[in-house]
Amino acid sequence: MSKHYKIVVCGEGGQGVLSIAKIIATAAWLQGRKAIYLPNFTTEKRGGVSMAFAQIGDEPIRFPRFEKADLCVALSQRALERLLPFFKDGTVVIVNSMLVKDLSGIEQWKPYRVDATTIAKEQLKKPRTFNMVIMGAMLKCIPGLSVEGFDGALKKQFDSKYKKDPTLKDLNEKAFRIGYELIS
Amino acid sequence: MSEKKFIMGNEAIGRAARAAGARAMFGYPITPSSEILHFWSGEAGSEQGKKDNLVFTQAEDEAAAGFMLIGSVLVGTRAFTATGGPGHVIMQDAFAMAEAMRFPIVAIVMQRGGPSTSTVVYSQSEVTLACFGGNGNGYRIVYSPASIQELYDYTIKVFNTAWKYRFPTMLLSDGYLGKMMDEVELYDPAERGIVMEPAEPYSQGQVRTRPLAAIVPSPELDARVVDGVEYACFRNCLNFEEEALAVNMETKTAFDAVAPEIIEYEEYGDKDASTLIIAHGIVSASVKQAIDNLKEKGVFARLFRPITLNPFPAEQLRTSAKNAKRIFVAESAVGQLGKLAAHALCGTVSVPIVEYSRPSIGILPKEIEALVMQPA
Repeated sequence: MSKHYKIVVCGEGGQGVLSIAKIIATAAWLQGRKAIYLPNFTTEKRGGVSMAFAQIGDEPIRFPRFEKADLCVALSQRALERLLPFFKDGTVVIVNSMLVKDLSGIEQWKPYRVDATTIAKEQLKKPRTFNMVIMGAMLKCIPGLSVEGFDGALKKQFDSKYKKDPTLKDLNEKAFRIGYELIS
Repeated sequence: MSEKKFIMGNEAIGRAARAAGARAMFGYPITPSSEILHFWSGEAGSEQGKKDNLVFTQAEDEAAAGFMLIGSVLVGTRAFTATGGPGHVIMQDAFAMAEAMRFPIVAIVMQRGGPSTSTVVYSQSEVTLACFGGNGNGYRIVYSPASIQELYDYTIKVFNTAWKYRFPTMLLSDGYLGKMMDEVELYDPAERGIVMEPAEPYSQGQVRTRPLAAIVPSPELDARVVDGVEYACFRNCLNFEEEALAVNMETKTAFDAVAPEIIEYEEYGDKDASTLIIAHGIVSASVKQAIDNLKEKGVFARLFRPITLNPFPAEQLRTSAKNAKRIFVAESAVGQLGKLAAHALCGTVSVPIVEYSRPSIGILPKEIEALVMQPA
């Protein structure tokens, strides 16, 4: 059976669902792991539900979709509903607690509530660091990836943006670490 | 120098077209193929792209893009287009003209849900349209890759197939492969000993290294020399039924003659397994995973995967199916690969061909495993 670590991120179009999964997969690949990423979305840019799949492992990964996930990330309430079929025993669940209020159906999974919106807006004063906070929380849950390796991957990926705005690098790393520390 | 990258399938296609020495792209954006256009427009606008005289035109619609592509090919440009879904429907008019006059156009088709707008990412429901979408009696070559690496490899290949055999050639894939990110090895075809077929012009007044008649297959061409100038007369309009019959049969004979050289297929799994699964494209990747998973449980199955959907590896499938006790066809469509397989196997197998049809949705390895585990 395939032993890849399987991740699904789901949220509203425009929340950065695809970017989160894409960056996680790319960062894993840059750290020498095998990775695969697949987006799934509707015709709307905003107002539709987007879903993205990522798998990380040590062997080549053949097929981009899967039935059950090791990590589910819900960025909105209706996204959570779309994620339910991916839950299995031991699935780690992270929710964006600003938009996902009703956790009554999934208490047995002991979801991590991450208020990335408030952290990004009030603590970091940059709403766009929302994704970094979520990714930090995710990274804590994914085995075999290091924070340092992730920093390096981000640096490689955002090289041109960091050159334009050097403060962005520190901000991203800070946001990322806040998310990382939120998961115990 | 080859290098490994973690990129999107559509970017791999764009890079392969560049590596193959393609010079022009004409298209109209549609999900899930748009990143191919994005990539090419970026290349065409870059310093290097300008040096290489790259051309990119976003046409007013797919019909225009298809005919621009034909025009470009006529003057000897290695050119291509990319489309999918409803755009693929609109482009059929140009494809049919390319069939009629055997123009080596290259089309990258990324399938999405259908009919009409439907979903934007995935299906395998444009197989029939890709293989037989013209108004009849035309021939085209259709490849179905199954990984991002194959998107790269076969995008290089389709240019050579088109220009070598002078039939319109398509790379038929889907938005899973196009929008997926995976590791891909990028290389210069020359490094692998791949020689690109020269893209020589059809039309008059162009420099050619060979006489027209050697480049352009008859009977569509009527080459005449008047006052030392070679004129090409192309026709997609014929006068008499008898003439149409002659032209149609000559094209058919030409296609049948080269088909054995073009046909590609792959087999996977235990050669003696009595369960045979027929699948193409990304679904075949899922079947391979299922076969590996089943093997761990001591259950054996095998895959027959047509890589060329047209011409179809009929004879090879018949050989593969001869000793099969159970035959499944799995596809993200209803009865498209199924019909091709049934037609190939007609009268040669005594067991039923069971179709597992999942239109516009991915087929997980687990579903294939469940099929195989069903009591016979």
